[in-house]
Amino acid sequence: MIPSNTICVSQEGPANALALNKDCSQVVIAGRNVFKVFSIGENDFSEVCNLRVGKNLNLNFSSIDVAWSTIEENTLATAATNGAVVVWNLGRSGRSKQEHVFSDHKRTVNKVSFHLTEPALLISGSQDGMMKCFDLRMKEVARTFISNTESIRDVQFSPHQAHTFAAVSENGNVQLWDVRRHERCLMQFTAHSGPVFACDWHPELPWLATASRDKTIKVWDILAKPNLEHTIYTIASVGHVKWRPQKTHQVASCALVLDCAVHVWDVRRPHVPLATFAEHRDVTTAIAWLADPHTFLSTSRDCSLYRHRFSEAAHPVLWANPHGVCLSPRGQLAHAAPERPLPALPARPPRAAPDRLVPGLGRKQPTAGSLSAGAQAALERAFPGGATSTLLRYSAPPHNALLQCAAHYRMRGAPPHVLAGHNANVARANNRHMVSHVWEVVRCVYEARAAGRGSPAPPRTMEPPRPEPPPLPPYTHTYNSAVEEEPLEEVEEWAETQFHNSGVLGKPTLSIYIPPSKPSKHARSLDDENSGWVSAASAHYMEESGEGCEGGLAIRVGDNRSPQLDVAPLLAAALRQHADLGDVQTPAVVMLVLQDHRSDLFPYIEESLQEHWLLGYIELLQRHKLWNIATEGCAHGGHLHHMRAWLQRHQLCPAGCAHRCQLA
Amino acid sequence: MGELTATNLFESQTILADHKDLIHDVAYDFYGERMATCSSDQYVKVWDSDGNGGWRLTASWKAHHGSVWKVTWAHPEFGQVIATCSFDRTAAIWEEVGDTAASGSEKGLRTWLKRSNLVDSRTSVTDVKFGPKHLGLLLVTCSADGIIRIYEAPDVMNLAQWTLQHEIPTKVSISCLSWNPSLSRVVHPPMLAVGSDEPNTTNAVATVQGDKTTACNGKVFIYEYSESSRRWTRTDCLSSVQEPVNDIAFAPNLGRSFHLLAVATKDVRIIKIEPVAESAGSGNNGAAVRFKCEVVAAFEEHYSCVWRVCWNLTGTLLASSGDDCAVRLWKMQYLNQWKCVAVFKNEPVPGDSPPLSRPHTTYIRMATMANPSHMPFH
Repeated sequence: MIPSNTICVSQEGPANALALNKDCSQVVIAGRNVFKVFSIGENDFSEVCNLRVGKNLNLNFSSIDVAWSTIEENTLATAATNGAVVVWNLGRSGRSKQEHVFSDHKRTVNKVSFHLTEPALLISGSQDGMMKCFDLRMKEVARTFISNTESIRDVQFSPHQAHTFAAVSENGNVQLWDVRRHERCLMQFTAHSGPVFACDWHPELPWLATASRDKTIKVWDILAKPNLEHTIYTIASVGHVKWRPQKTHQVASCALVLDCAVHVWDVRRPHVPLATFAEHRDVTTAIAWLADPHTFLSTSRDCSLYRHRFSEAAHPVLWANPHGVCLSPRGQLAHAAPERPLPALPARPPRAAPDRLVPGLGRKQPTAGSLSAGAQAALERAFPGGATSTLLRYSAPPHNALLQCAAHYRMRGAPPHVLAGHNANVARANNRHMVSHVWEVVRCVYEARAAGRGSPAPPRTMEPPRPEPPPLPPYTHTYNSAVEEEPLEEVEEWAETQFHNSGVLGKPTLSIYIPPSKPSKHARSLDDENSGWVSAASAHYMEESGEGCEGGLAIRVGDNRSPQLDVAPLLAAALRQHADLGDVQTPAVVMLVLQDHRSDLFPYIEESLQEHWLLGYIELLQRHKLWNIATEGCAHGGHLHHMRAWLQRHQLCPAGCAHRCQLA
Repeated sequence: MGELTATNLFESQTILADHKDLIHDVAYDFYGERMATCSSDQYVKVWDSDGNGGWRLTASWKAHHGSVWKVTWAHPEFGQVIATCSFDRTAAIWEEVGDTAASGSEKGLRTWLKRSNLVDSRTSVTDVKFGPKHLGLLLVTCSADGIIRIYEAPDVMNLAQWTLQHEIPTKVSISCLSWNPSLSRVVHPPMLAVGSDEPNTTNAVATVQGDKTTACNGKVFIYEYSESSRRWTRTDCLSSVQEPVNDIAFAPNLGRSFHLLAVATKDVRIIKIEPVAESAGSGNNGAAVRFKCEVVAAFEEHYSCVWRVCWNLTGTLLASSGDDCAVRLWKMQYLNQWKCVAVFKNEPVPGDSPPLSRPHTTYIRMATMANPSHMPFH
């Protein structure tokens, strides 16, 4: 989509160059197959003259560059691919405006440039490594400058010293010459590591900008010794560079390959273009500012000639994300924010809510050219100083119930109800009262089962019921359970000492806060609100299970000899609820603790979900490096208990590497 | 907001990043022990935690020829590997070489080598993310011209070889993407969410409506991989998000039955995406509705454009940052209500003031917590 104030005209062939007449009312474009003069109107280009006429359209018409005399209204010069420099006189009568052909260069002429004060002087730079100064009155070569380089890509007269011109060459050198002295150059320095394709003198300062294949634009102060003032980093070889009039620090550039857009840079912020004009569909071949800083013309290999208004620029900085935020698994928060964010838009008094921030310039710009003049000016002012970010890291006091629980939970070595009782205490000690509540439920249910009173217990070693779970520290009893004993304490201590400084943000605590309370051992009815559930969330999952009342009764089973109720769907719903709340530790560990009783839950929790929980918990522990064992072969780690639990049911490595694992 | 008390303080530390232009992304590694930053100055820097709360710069290199938009870590199983994407139209894969356990060279700097350069995009590459580990070594990129590209390293030992597996045109400018990190292979097929920053012009609406597959004005699209057809297809478009999207993030799913997606747009949104059971949908994949989507929260507290969203490890806490230069933390409260639990305000310097003289030592300053009673440990 072309912005409304941009105008465009297409020709039969791509133009390699363009030049403006001295009052910027007309433009000439020249290429291999095109050579035309247009008058620049308010809303369009109108063709004034087609110079590509005549019987003999030879290679003299195939132009690489074109220049328009800054003094003589009607004098043009072109640089031809065959080495000719052709002078044209628009004032000639007849169709052919060709005035004279200089055939002195051996190879393609890359650039022609008129002397800024002497109307008769024209210089050229050629692929043969030479520059020639032509005298248009005498129609002869006045002087030849030998650069001692392979080829000259650009020649430009200095606006500050009448007879000095700069020449840039493919070997990366810049030479300054006095047009009256051809013996040797005034100054020579290496500007770039690759070919230099263009240069441009700053209109006020003694600065020369050079554009190179090394993807940089360099700004040299050449008043005394050449001094590198600024380097602009672009994404592609830079083909052309032009200072923006009246804006000391701004320069426009276009690329030779890859990038079709014209960028305007502020040299004080060398990594991000201030403005971008992306109308061209192929690489831009030439740019020229009209005398003011608000308009410029460009030609492209896509055969078009554009007039761009600066007000219709796109501003990439408005699209770039100025913030970075990351939460670490250890609960730290890193935040990168601009030190000086872009200013707020000029306030629009009507309709803006009084207590609201006016959206800043930092917000995304809907389309190119949608900024108001004031906003664009504000952006231009703030742009060069906006290049710094502050990187901050926030960390909370180390406290992490998840890790404490991970370290102290027991998963094995005792019947489920004993483990559950222990784990309930662990959870309570860490202020995770809802989790503790779940463990209490598990404990009560399986205690009742273990007591063997009317319970269809699965085949396992019966244990004497323990009416009260013993307090911490852990049990000293030996249990005759089917599961082998493990050196638990070592492992847990190790984990405990390792992870003191973990931040709190990573903690998947439950958001519903239950005060430390008596475990709900008595049956309660749902309508008894005041003495009712200590935990709204537990009420929630009771509701989900659709068996709220029975849930209460189920807890009572341990105490009274009520009819046996199936607690499994209730427990399954509770575990799902915990998983949905972001606490995967509880369901995963409950599943492990249940041991053989796990099969009770199978009808309600599909195997894939169980696997998901286990994998999730393993990932959680991995993130905290809470593993203490590596499997043999693939060296993937995992928490010992979980690895063992996994490998009871699976043969492949839980890390997903498809290794057939055995515990080391 | 609750009272501010002096006892509820977060320790804040300024890290002297010394990037020469804006930092666009910060990424912690899998364990939170390393941090990478990337900037418009075309540099990527890697910082290592010293274990005592300090961070040390261990690598800094020029990674691209344009602004580096995003940096992301691969799972450590694949080595110390990061991917970057840039305005220069490329994405790159970098690997740290040498013994990572050693302290590095004398200056303490380590070497990162460019293993691969992905040059398929013709416009700025706006985001890059590694796939969930259980899918292998996958990388997805998206670009300003709206093409999502999925690459795979067939041999995880050879990071130089990446094959372009899928190219998905979306027809709108894509600014961000997120893999669904669900660990469950069975229940959840590979899933991607992408966000578009396409401006809402009348023109854009017209083109979108002209296309059948994008007949939705939403800015967030869900893509899923079908094992049977071996294709990624757009299975949903979240019509609730109509404004340009700057960032998008799936909450880690460690065992939930639904997915949570955070969206940074003109506000902070949290969207619950619940897969609809196969039987409940209309059987074959015809016009079946795959998800039930619900906006569970929308916060306008930034009063401005929101740029970034990021979840904690368990998907219980969301951090967001916007043009007000504040980071806000959101947490789910009683009855699935999400609330702001903390605000970290980074006071911006007024635009016209002279550049700060930067402190040469890191300093500690304290940020206040807005709502201490809702913080996890209170």
